Amino acid sequence: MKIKVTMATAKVLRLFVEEPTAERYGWEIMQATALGSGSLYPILARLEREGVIAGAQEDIDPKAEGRPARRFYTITGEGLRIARQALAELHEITRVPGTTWQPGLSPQGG
Amino acid sequence: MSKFQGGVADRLLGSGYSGMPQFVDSEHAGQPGAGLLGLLHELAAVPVSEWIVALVCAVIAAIAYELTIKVLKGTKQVTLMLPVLLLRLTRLTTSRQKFRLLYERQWYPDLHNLLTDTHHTAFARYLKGLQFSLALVLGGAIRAARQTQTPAQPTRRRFERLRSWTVLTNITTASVSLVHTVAKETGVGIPYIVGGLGVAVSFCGFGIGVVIWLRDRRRPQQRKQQP
Repeated sequence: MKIKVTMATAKVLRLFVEEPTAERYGWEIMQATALGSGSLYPILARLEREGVIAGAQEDIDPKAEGRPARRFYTITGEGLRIARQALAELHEITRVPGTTWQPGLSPQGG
Repeated sequence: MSKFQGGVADRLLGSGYSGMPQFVDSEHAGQPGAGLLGLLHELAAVPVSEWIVALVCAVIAAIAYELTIKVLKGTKQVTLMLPVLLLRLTRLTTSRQKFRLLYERQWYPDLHNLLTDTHHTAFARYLKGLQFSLALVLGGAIRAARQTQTPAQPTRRRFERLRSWTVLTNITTASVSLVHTVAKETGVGIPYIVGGLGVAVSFCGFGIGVVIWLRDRRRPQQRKQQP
């Protein structure tokens, strides 16, 4: 299965791919990706619908905690494979022609 | 004949109508070609300051109306902070089922977390909260609702579209009524706002309706083209 990957989606996917076992909630993802709520939530809803990530409600007592239960997201096994493939394809598309990445060399030559 | 006879209300509703202030010079009344073109000409002649007043009144009236009717009732037990109230306005653009799923399980907990985050000052949190809510109110909620798994029934979608029109009409009516009331109190010059506001909002409403209709017509064709 293929998913539509925009730059904003790629930011979200990269966050999940970097730490596949981590549970993340909306505000945390917003801070990490610098995306606005108007962009992030449609992306999360789409990725959840496509089975790339799975959402689950936090199991807490809101009264005891003094805050409402958050919705946590984790990347699924299939989602991890799809996300890696999509990010690799995006990297290939956006790579500057004729350049290859060489470990230890910075663009300034240092 | 008085100075303001034969105005927009006459043109739109007939010369016998006297429910709205009349503000067209009698020299132009009844002239051929003085219909829509004349109306646009008059609207163009309305000073910017009056448009600003009209816009502010419209915004205040719209917010007050929606807060009173739909929002205030629901937020009484939670919080009355403006970002939360603004976020509740997403109810206007999402179905009840999706609103419960998105607002109660995702948006509100995250906004609550944002507003109680001690790493930032209270003012910064408030601004971030407003930004969070506005981004969802101004389109984010609709896009998120479209992507959400629970699809609305076709009849429900039609009802939602109809409801949007109803809300728009309510806002228009409330705005015009408010400005009309103010106009009666303050006197000459203000009546321009009533006509200008009413017609401008009606045009906007019509435009939005046409865009929604065209988009809905185009969408099934796009789906067919996809493999």
